[in-house]
Amino acid sequence: MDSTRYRIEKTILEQNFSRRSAFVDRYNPETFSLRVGLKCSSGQAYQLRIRIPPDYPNSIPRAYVMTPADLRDRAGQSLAQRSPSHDMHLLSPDGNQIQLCHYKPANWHPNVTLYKVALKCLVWLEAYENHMLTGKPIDHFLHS
Amino acid sequence: MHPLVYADESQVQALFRQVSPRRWRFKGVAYEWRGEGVFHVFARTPAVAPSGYPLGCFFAFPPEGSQPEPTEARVVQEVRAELGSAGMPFRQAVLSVFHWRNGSLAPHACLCAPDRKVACDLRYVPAHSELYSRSRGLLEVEALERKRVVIVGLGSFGSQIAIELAKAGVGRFDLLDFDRLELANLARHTGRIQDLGRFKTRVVRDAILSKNPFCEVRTFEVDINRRLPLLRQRCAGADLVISVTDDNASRFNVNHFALQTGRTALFGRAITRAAGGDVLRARPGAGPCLSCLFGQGLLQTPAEVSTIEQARRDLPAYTAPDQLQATVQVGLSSDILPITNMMVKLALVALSEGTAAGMQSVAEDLVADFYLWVNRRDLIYRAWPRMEYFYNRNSILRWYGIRTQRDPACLVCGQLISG
Ligand SMILES: [Zn+2]
Repeated sequence: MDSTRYRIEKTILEQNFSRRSAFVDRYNPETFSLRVGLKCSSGQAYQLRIRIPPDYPNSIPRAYVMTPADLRDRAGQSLAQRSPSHDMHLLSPDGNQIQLCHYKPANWHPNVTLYKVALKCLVWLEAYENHMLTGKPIDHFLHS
Repeated sequence: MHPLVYADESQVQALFRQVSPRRWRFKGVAYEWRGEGVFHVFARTPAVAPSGYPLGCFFAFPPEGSQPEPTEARVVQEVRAELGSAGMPFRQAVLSVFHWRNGSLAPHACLCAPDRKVACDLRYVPAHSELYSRSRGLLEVEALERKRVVIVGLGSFGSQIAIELAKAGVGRFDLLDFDRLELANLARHTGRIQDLGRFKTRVVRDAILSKNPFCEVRTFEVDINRRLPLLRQRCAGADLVISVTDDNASRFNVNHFALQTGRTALFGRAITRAAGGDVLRARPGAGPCLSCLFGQGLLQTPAEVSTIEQARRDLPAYTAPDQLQATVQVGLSSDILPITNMMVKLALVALSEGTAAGMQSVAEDLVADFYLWVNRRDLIYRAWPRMEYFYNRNSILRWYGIRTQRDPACLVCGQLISG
């Protein structure tokens, strides 16, 4: 990510997430990522790691849930083990950190910001909490 | 009709410059179209693997003042003596003889075998300046010859575009693609069955050079998404950038670097089931960029998916294999050609800008930066009226110029143009 885009992303994130987001390893293309804390309407907090590819924003970033680690579904099964999953909108995990499907690759474009990615992840988390309440798959809540 | 022998005029001239009283006979290489009486002779192995089957080849420039007939009979004798020897494993050879007479080289050729000699017609493949003289007047050939076009993606689109531009007289190409030609590509790619397994860049380079051996072609067998500095460098050295890859990340990367280096870029693609296609000309500072249009939803019609690898990239990782296979729905080569043809026209307009070339009237027509091609009454065009005899309403098999504007909030061209 070039420096102009970096400043734009940082400004938008600071405006909306104040101190709950931070860039990590900016100069290491292997690990450069955004850490962001998201809170659902239930009050439950989640820590996400959004991996920023070297050609971001031209290719899509990947979003992982860091904490709580090893999220489970309503039946108690590890979501990482259920991945990839269409029902739960999950891509391939990194260890026990699940990867959220936030944008379809074909719909991704460079005017989407990391802030929007984080919002899409928040929508996934709300759907996840609804799944925990009702047992319905996440797809049920995200399908418009 | 006598058998035909084609010789490269500039190679013959170069050999002639090496002639001395002691050295006036040279070995070359010749290729034969068997049973067709057609031979191509070269002073050295050509840069592009030649077609036909090899046979012996000699060039002779008898010293000035020597009598044509006895000299030639002597050379024929020498050639016959060499046929079948260890250094010449052929049973016949093409002999091209050039006598210096009245200030010019009088050429003639014959086919020599141990038991016979057949007179041939020798024809020159003309030197550089004459090869593309036919398009003169229509296009400013000298200007186009100096233009460099970067083509990213040498699949069914890129291969057609590259060859058409070479035929129009464009002289310099940078070709970028890391794919190899596979069986599944053959129906739509310009590559031939004997090219299977080769890098598409090299296949297209050879096709360009077969049309115009004076083109300068550089090939880069790289994944541009992982070689961004190289992509930037190539864009900076280009007069025009053409992006015809099948993945969005590479299209956005090209968009980014073409804008950053101030180069016009063309993007083209077919949409699902070849129902149509679209072409964007992105002019830095003067019109919308790829990201502007994508953000406005203009490019979100599902692209044609021509390979399972592309389906894997475009669809989420959880997509079932049979669903992946179902999205692979390709059109025919003839569905692609109208789109590549439009891109070639837009390319020639862009490359001829500022010259007094015959593209002026086309340029006046092609003022839009975004074009839709409607190919079949299918998918989004399903409800369109039939073409039949109407010319005054929408129909298939037509181009539509779409009025578009820069997205003032576009983060890609906004920051690059202002910065
Ligand atoms: Zn733009």
